[in-house]
Amino acid sequence: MKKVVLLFSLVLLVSCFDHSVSVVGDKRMQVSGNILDAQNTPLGNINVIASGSESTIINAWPEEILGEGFTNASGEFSFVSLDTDNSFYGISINHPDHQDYDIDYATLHFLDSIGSRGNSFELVNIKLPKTQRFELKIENTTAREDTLFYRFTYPATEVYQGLNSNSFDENSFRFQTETEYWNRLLPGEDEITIVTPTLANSSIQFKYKFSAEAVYDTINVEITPENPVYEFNF
Amino acid sequence: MNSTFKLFLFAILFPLSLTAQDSIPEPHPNQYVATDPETVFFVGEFFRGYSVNNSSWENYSQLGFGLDFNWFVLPFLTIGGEYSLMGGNLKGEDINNTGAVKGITSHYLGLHLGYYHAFNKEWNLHTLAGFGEVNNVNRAPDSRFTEDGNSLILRSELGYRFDKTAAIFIKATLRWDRMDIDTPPTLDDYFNKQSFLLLGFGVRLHLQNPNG
Repeated sequence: MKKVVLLFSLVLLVSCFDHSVSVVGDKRMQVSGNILDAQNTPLGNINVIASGSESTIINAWPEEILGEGFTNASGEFSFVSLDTDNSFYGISINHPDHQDYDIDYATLHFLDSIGSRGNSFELVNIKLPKTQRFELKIENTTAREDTLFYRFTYPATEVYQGLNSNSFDENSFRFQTETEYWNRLLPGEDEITIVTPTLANSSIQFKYKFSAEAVYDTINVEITPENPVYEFNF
Repeated sequence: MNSTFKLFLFAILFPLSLTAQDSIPEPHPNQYVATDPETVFFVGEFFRGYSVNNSSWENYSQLGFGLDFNWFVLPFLTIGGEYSLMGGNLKGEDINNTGAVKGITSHYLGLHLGYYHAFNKEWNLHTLAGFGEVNNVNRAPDSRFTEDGNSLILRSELGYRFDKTAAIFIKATLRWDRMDIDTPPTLDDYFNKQSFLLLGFGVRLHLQNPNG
């Protein structure tokens, strides 16, 4: 009997947290636009997804997708999307969860709040930056007995913007364009390597110090496809 | 407008012109028509639909069935009602033109006026014009939603009667659905004006009350 009650409670609990993207009837939206690279060259075969989401993170799970299209050879796309009235609405360009995700380019999300919206969205001349792999190697080459505190900031490859200018406070956490990573290298640890994607031809800010109370020293590192690795030895 | 469509249009509309007669024709001597106007017949049918115009339904398979009731007001004139259900599943995986609607179930409920013409004892033509309401139930990945509209139909059925009670027929129907979906102007016709050619077959059950 206890097991039945436990199972029933579990089902009830799960159902409480289940979120369905409710579709608005009697409405179809058109999403169109064009996508360019940094040199203004049209980008073809890039996926563009419209989806609903319970939170401001657009996961684009299959049950959340409301519409989908691809850019043609001219970089243009146009597709029909459903609307949702109980979820955030987002349009994602080159979503990483899509089967045709192009790892060489960044991801842009255009997010709209829960509520009503118009029936067409045009995203014109959207620049999609190239991405590259960045590698940070930190090595204790002098057997120094200090703890290294370090942090580095790099351009994010997945960026959120408001679909409408008045949708959100643009300073909110979700719309930050940079990612920060911090950690420390303890005495006795010789080296660490961190690999992360970032935007090609971008600048990375590396900060370090050898005690918690000290002030960080800052190093700016230019990252290019020819120079994807930064080594910090101490 | 291609020639096949013109032919179907002609096949449907031409018999309608036969109703424009000055006098009520005498039933054919071999016709299975009771003189009692209370004669009725019931219809069960299956059909397959084809989108005639450029509309969102062209992205879906179109198969359905219908149940129909007709009452002979006069030996050649029927009035009746119909319920039909047409199901459509998305052809392939491409939702570019439809949004994430994976399937549609379309319910039609309407009334119609018909002209019944017996060529001889077995063969007959039943031509109808009708109107009704459409209720489309759309299946999205995580929810269902309904959309309503109005519909007009024109139909011709070529029937063959085995006896006074049983008959079979083939039919061609033109159906125009008008929906009320909020769209940008460029998508208005695509989602709000649906035209179908429905080709099908069915059986009829004629019931009569010869003694009034």
